[in-house]
Amino acid sequence: MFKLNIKISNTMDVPIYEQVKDEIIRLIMSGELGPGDALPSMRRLAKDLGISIITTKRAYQDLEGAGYVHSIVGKGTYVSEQNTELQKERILNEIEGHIEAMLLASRQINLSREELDEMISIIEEDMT
Amino acid sequence: MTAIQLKNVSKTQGSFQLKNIDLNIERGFITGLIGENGAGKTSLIHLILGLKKPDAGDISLFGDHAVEAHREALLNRIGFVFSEDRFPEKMTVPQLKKILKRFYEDFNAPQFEHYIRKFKIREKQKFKNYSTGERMKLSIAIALSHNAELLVLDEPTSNLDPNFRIEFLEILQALMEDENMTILFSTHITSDLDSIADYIVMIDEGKIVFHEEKDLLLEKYKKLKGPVEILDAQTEDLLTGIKKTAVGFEAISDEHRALEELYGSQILTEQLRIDELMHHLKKGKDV
Amino acid sequence: MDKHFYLKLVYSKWTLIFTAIVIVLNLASALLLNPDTAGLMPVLNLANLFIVLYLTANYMNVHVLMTYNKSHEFFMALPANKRDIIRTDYIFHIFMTLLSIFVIFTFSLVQDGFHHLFGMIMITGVNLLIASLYYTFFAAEWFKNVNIMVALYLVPMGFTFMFYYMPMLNLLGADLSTIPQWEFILYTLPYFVLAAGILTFAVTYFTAQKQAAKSDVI
Repeated sequence: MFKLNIKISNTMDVPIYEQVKDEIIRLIMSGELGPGDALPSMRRLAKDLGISIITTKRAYQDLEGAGYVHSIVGKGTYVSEQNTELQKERILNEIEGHIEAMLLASRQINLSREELDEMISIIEEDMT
Repeated sequence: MTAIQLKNVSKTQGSFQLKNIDLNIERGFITGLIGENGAGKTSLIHLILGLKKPDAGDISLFGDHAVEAHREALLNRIGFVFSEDRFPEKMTVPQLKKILKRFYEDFNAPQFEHYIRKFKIREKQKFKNYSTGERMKLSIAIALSHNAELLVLDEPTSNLDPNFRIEFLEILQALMEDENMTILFSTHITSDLDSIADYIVMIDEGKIVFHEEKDLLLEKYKKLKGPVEILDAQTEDLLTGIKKTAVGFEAISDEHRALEELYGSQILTEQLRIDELMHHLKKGKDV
Repeated sequence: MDKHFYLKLVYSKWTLIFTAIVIVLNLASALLLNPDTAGLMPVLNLANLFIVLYLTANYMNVHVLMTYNKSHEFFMALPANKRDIIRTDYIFHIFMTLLSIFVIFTFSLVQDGFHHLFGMIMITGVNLLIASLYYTFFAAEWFKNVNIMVALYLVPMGFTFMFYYMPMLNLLGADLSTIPQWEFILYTLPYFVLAAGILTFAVTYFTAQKQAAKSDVI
């Protein structure tokens, strides 16, 4: 059966459906969910996570809208095939944009690469 | 597809009045009915179960408007739990089971026995010897044992111990795997609804205050915390239920995005709980 | 069997058990011994009086028992049409009335008295009249005032026993030609009362069914 490694938090300010969405994207990106893999039914996932059906419905709809998954009427929701590479590229593009902005900002105060690297490490540590 | 629909329903009982109630309970979801004691939750449930007749307006169940003519067929599809037990005190489980077998077309005796064991209900005891929790468990066992597709539960969790409450909520969620299942759940323990409810209906003084998707409600309203210094006439306009202490203020706002942009990291935004929201909306109305 | 009929049987268990006992006592006394010499007559009289009262008022008794702990709210939320509930009430009342007639009949065997048969006709007539009145109210407000109705039942029934049954027993063998109105009261009035009872019972059956569907059940 389905074994989805999803963690959500009720205390975080990120809406639950966003958390579900992000977790599934993470699983797809990390390869834990491959193209063609079935996602649990909305109702099943809602039950397993102890959240409402509408919340899971919304996460699935968003995922479908972004092309990560597709649903087959009467069968279920599946991880989309062709899109994984595209998605990765899209996220890479997004990261490139952020890096550009970051470098531009650090140039204004003459921040060195070492200092920048150090800052990244510190923030990374804080996040985990 | 709606499981329960009320159109412009009014009902007067003594000094209490339900006024022009319009309500659509969506099939396939859990709807939480909240409100203070005496707000009209039980009256609404009595109308839905055909125990009371509306003075005006129309009620339909599963799209059927002939609720009086089809009362028997419709009630067969509904499982109910009353907020207080209404069992004949001198009866025992086996006696009641015989009656239920006759009343419910689809009574599932093995399932009923399964729940009796699972809930540790004492079969040989008369109901008058039951604790309130045990009576509630029996009520729940009955509601779950005749293949109902609509559960109308009036304060089912109020007398349950915390362990059983969690077990019960899990059972409800498991039932919802069937997409034809609908649950209407009145409660004043709103933490029951924080996680599992899809929709929230709030009723106050016989009127519906709101009927909204729970997620949208909790996105709209947030709890904000911050230093007292940032409070001025303009900010206070965007906030309600402001509580000031030595360590800062706490308030509720549906303009939290604007405030976050204004004050950034000075403000901490938090998820509300449904009871906080209920308290807030009720107070907002009273002002 | 109809669900509400079964429910009523459950609630009438003790009434039915005592009825069976009285019937057996009556039959045994009639067949086996002379109850007057056995000193059994006062007991039999009393037992028959009580059981007839219980049988003819059983429909109310069941309703009163059902309101204990407000359990009628539970039973009324179980699947059933309101018209069917009223129909079962009427059928069950006819069943209990026939049973009360049978009890009086077996009692008449003991004493060999035709006057009991007139008493039976009179009681059945009064019983149906009261039931008609009761169900007219019951259909409108269901279980709200069932206790008051029981108290009201005892008035006309008590009257019937005191001013019909007692005189009937006391005037037994008396020459009634001197008091012709007694002749009418004792031997003609019961038929009128019974006819009126049957008629109102039949008419209120339809009105009560109609009214019941329009009313709150709790």
